[in-house]
Amino acid sequence: MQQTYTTRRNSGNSFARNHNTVRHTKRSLGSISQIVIVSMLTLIFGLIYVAESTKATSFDYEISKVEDEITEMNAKKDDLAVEKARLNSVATAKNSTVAAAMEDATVTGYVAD
Amino acid sequence: MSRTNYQHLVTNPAVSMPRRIRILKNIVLIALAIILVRLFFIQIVEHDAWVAKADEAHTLLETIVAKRGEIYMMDDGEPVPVVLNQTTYQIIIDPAVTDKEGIKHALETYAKDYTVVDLDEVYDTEGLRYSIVAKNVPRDMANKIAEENIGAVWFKKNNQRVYPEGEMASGLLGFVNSDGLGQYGVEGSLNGELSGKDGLLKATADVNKVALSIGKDNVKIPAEDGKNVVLSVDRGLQKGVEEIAIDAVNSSVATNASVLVMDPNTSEVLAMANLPNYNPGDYGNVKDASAYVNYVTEVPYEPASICKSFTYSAALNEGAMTADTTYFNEGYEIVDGWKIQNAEQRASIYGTISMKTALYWSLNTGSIYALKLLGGNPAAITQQGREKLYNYYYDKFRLGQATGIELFEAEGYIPDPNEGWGRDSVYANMTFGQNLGITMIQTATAFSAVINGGIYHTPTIVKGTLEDGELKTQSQVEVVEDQILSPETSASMRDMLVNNRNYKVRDGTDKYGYAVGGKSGTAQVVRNGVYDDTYAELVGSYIGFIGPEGELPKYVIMVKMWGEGQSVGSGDAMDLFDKLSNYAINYLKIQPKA
Amino acid sequence: MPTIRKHKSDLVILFATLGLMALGLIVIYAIGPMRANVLNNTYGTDYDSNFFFIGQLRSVGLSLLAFFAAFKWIPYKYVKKFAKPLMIVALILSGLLWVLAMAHSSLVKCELGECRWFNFGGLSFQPAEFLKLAMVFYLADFLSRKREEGVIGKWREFWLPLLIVCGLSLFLVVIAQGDLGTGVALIAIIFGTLLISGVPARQYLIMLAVVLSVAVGSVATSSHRMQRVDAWLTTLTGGESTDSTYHVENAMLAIGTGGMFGVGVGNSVQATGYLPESINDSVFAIMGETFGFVGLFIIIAIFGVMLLRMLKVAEGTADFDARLLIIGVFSWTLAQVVVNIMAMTSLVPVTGITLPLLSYGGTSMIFITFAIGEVCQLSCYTSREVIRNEDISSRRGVRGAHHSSGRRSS
Repeated sequence: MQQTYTTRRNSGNSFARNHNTVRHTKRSLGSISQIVIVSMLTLIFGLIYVAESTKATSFDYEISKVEDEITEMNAKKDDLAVEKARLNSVATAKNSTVAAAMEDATVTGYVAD
Repeated sequence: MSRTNYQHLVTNPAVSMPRRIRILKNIVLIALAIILVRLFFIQIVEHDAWVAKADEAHTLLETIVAKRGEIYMMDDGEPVPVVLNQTTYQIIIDPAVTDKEGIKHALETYAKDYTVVDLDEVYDTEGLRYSIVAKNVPRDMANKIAEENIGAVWFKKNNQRVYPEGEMASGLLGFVNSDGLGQYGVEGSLNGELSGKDGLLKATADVNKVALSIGKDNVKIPAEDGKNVVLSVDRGLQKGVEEIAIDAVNSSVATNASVLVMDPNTSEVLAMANLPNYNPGDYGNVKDASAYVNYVTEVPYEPASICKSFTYSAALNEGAMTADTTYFNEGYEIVDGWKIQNAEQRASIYGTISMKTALYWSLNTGSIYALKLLGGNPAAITQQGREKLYNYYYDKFRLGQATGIELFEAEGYIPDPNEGWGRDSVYANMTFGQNLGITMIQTATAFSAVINGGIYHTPTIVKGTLEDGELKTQSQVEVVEDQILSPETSASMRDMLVNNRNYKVRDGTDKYGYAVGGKSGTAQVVRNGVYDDTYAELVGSYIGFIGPEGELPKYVIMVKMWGEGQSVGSGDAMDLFDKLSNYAINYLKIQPKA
Repeated sequence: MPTIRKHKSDLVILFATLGLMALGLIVIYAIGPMRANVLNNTYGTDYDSNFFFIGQLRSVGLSLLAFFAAFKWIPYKYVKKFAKPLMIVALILSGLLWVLAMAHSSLVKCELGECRWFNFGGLSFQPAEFLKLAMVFYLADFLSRKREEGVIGKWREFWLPLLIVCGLSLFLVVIAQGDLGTGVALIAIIFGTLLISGVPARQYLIMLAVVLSVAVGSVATSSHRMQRVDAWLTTLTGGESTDSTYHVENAMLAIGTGGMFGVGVGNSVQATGYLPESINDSVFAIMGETFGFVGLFIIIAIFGVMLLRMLKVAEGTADFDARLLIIGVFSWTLAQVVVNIMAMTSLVPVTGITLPLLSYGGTSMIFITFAIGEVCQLSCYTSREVIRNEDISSRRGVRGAHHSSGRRSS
């Protein structure tokens, strides 16, 4: 099976022998880089297109996050309103108008003096 | 070298290189063809079925829950909240896998008051995988427990009604049941306004139920939040009235009391109490559903002698009598074979007395005489008399009819003047408030017309709505303003009703400079279709007005006290009225006549 | 002695490779944020929305480097010299992974209970992918040597060493790592190259039958694998949905909703968490949803043309070992493409195999692009004469990559 080895040698020879084919090789490299450039451009334009069309989806998550925050804030607001109402309730306020009037009930401050 | 390869292959005829590569080529072509046919089948043939399946899987259909409106009362001219909303949480655990000590510690630290089970018992129950361990836990507390990051613990959100005034006015306000439906009171009658309109979200959603804008037919109908209802009720007055009434109940044999305070010149309700109260936040633990009932509007009864004011007004307004018209009081009257007696039998009032005196002593013979005068025959009750009284009671005072107030109401009934047996005795009884069924709100509204110059106003309890912190006055009822009595009749009635309380001024109960008038009523209770003459159970009522002397009254207060099997006389009701009228004068800062 | 002059490489393979990688990158860009969001929501992770795109960009960059290294800088003969040591290293790495996984080393990364990755400070490496590449080189070298020695089909000199190496590889991959997908690819590589190596048809078929029965046996005795087969049969026959049918059902749902032209880039709903492995193993289904039947047809056509071109290159390659190498790469690619797509369309049970050049994932892409790069390198040395000498009929359709074949020296 000498032959398998000769090919290697031969191909090596062909490199050495075909110095005048350098131009040819260069051209093949050029077309490859053309392909690379074209595919990269396709990729970039594709990405721009995609970036435009996926924007909506990423906004959906933003919206959902903001809506959650609104719900949370509203719950907080409700909590504070309840807290305020408790503090201002006639049941807890010792010096409320009710309490004052009740103390006065026997004093009757409005009786004609 | 290729020739060598070729030679080798030739020497082994079983192995042909091109044929074997062709096999691989065919594998590629067949495999890809199968795939393409399959894809064609899935994407083109079955496309619609998959789209339908995808819609089912991706579509989020959610109700956007409308925020229930809050309920406000008035305080010093400003709306103050009495029913609010709060987001609370139910805490649910899987006892089999959760960190038992961890959750126990967390609950004890943050939600002790809200824990609804005995944790040890839960842990001992075999095979239990789901247990609601705490309810109504406030958001901040639930957050703190959530921060502990204990496994197999879930938080379920609830919208809860919160009552900063506790049990106050529970019978008036009602409650919201677990389905979010208002029950009884304002919550029930104004459920439509309060609950608003739920919205709808139909959208394509991701696996975590986040709505995406990808879908083509996404629908979002926003919720219309419920209206914040502002009641005309004065919070401080309500509170004071309730405290005084509870004291009165506690110091009498009565178990229940209802109080209504209204402005007679507008028929605006300023306080409406049904005692005892219950906790609307824990309505489920109320044993007897009668505690939910608003007796002021929902239960017709016989206010008894209070109705003499209406009979007198009718006779006065028809010109059939004056306060000074006299009649002969025998102490009783026999109508249709029934003997109707006066409650007051003292000797000094036998013989010829004035109608005013008869009202002072609350004599049934007096009001029967007024009915006779209405019929044009001082000797007997006539058809004309019955029809006229009916006309006043039913058509003018609108007794036995729903008033139209923004609450659940009972109609009650006024007997027909001509249909049925024993009309004369029925109407004789009706002159002093028996044999009919009317509610407190009907009574108080009619009474307001009697003393306010004769104008009937539809009663109302809703002042308006609160929008962005601003009170928008807006009547919810069809307001009727009807001059049903002449101002003179009204003046005469005021005079007689104040006269009723002359002794109260003398004994110092009523203050000088004020005009306080009133009428008591003690009703026998019907047992097995007949009036119970043993007086074992009585319902005591009192209605009165207060205002500066010489001016139109400012407030009407009606009191009703009763107890199952208890004899509650009008005396108890009057005592309560006395306290309330004095309280109201102070609280409402009514200026006496200078 | 004919000398084959270097000429232009096969542009179809080159272009298909680059085009598919670009397409994969675009799709990952579109669905990567959704994937990140699903993971963040479900597992509380904190992936940036561009995490997967950047990861894929890095993989594509490294793959391009590997591709051009194989294509331009590393002559095939040079790599072939190291075929044996490469295989030994690959086996040692797989063995090491197995041992370290059993010792619960932090150097081993496990996902869903399967430990298939080495983890070096954030960079993960899957030795099974390396093993596939090593296997291709090893078999090319081994089979061509045995052929030179004329011992192909002999038990002691040929089958025994082959069975030991292949058996060991399959054991380390399928049993130790639980990676059925790579196992399928390895079997495809072995039988693809064996077919071309000149093994007598009878022996080949017997060996195929033996391996298939072992495979069926191992599936039938493993409840985990049986479950997959069961799920596959359920889906295929339209039975009740279960947890195990979820993956395929959702893959088919994605493909089915795509229809003729697809829902468009960025409009995939299935990628928002419904379809498991949406960026790697299931990326074909997402493409089906996005680009529709037309899109998938084009993708499959690109793969098909690329595979057929590989066969053409193999036919035109004079060196026997090089030809075996090309067939190895061809088998590898074919197996991954066909098994992945067939699993997504419920034609075969799910085995967990990536779609070459399109799926998210670093190691697999780097090694397969290196392998394809070698094919591209070899495509510069094809000769029409080889084919003419062997079978005149296969001359049809030989175009493009053989411009210089008409010029013959000596």
